Amino acid sequence: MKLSPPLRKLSLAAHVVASVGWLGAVAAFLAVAATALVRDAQGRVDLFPAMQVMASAAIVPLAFATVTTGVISSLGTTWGLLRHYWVIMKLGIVVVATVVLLLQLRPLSEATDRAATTPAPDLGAETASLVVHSAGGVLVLLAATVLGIYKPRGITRYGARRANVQARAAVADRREGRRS
Amino acid sequence: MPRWVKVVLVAALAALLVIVVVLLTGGGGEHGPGRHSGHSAPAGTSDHAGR
Repeated sequence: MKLSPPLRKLSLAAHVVASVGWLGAVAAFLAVAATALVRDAQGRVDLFPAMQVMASAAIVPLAFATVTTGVISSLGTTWGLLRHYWVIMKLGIVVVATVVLLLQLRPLSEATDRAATTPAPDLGAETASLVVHSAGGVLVLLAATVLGIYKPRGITRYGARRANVQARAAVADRREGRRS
Repeated sequence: MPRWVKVVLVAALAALLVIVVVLLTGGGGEHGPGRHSGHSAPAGTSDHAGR
């Protein structure tokens, strides 16, 4: 199914906004987590509610929006989902990043609960884990952004087959046009 | 398969291997299902202590 040009632009705009927004939100989360890491125990406790809100209200919705708009954009254009290596790799990156993000939500939520209910909890290990995971997230999302901009060459076997079929169909259409 | 795809796949496998080794050797801190077991409030800090 191919999207009309206006819908194609709309889905691309939504995908760019969501994916770059996701990268920015994770970078902001990393800044807060790194700040928490260098603070004392009470300073960390103060920052956990903010990190919890950033993750649940911004990062998770933007991650799902990125995956959804990316799939719509690729399926609705000639790029396809499985025809070009860069598209497959970008899809793999955002899916893995989303899974890791979802796995990190529970530890973050539990640490935020401990920060709110336990007197003077030591959240050093939890904070270090969040710094490592968000730094990794920034790196892989940067890689996905670079892939989307540079679009390195490389067609999969499936993509080559589809291109062949479409080329033959185009030739057949031209012949039909000459006859009529 | 283009060369850049092979290079990326090798780098991704190497990174995955490093992550697995770090997790298995305990360098990644408390990971896994038991990461939150054994947490307890320091003695004397619980509201219920001594009640």
